[in-house]
Amino acid sequence: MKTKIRELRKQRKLSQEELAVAVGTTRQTITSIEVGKYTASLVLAYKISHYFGLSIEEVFDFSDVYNSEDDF
Amino acid sequence: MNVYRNKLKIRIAYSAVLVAVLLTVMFLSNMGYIGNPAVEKDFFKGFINGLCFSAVFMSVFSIVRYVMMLKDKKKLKEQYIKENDELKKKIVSDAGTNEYYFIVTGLGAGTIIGGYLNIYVFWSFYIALFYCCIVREILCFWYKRKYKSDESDYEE
Repeated sequence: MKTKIRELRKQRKLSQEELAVAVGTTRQTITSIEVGKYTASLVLAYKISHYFGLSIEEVFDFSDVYNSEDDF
Repeated sequence: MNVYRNKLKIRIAYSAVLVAVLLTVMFLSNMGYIGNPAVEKDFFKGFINGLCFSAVFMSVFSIVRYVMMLKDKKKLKEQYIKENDELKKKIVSDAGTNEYYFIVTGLGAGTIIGGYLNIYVFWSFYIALFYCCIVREILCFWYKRKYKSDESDYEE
């Protein structure tokens, strides 16, 4: 899943470690979410979005979810 | 964080009990109060001692680590994050699922091959396979009860 976390983080001059500590996860998890290797849980997605003061849809790109539904 | 703090305290208590039990078993076994001296071979005794000693060492190490964490708030938070990291949980969960299929396949193949070689090998593999399947079913039953909603919760 694509996200805007890296962009938002750079805008606010935050390191991955700082964001990870703020949302209660590890730096590795943030890295994996940023590069799209791992999809965050609803709770973590909420925490990250809330941290940036945005809605989940503004941070996470759900277009892939709709595309995968078409595969059925 | 208090919930996690209490969790660590419970872990310390369990580890302390485990250490006490293992040391007692080691002492009684080495003094000859438990076990059958006629059956116990040196290798077997050494194996039990080694196993107990490593378990005691690991438990004491955990106790020291937990006590140090309880005193340091920063370390406690770091450990909490490390333990509850969802990516780590996902990796362990996925590895566990695949591990089960690999083990069951290996044991199944071992049971079939063992049947042609030796009856003891066959039964060892068969019991191990049976044990794995039973544990899996019990865990599935447990988690179904934990996560699946009751029919009475159904609303039209």
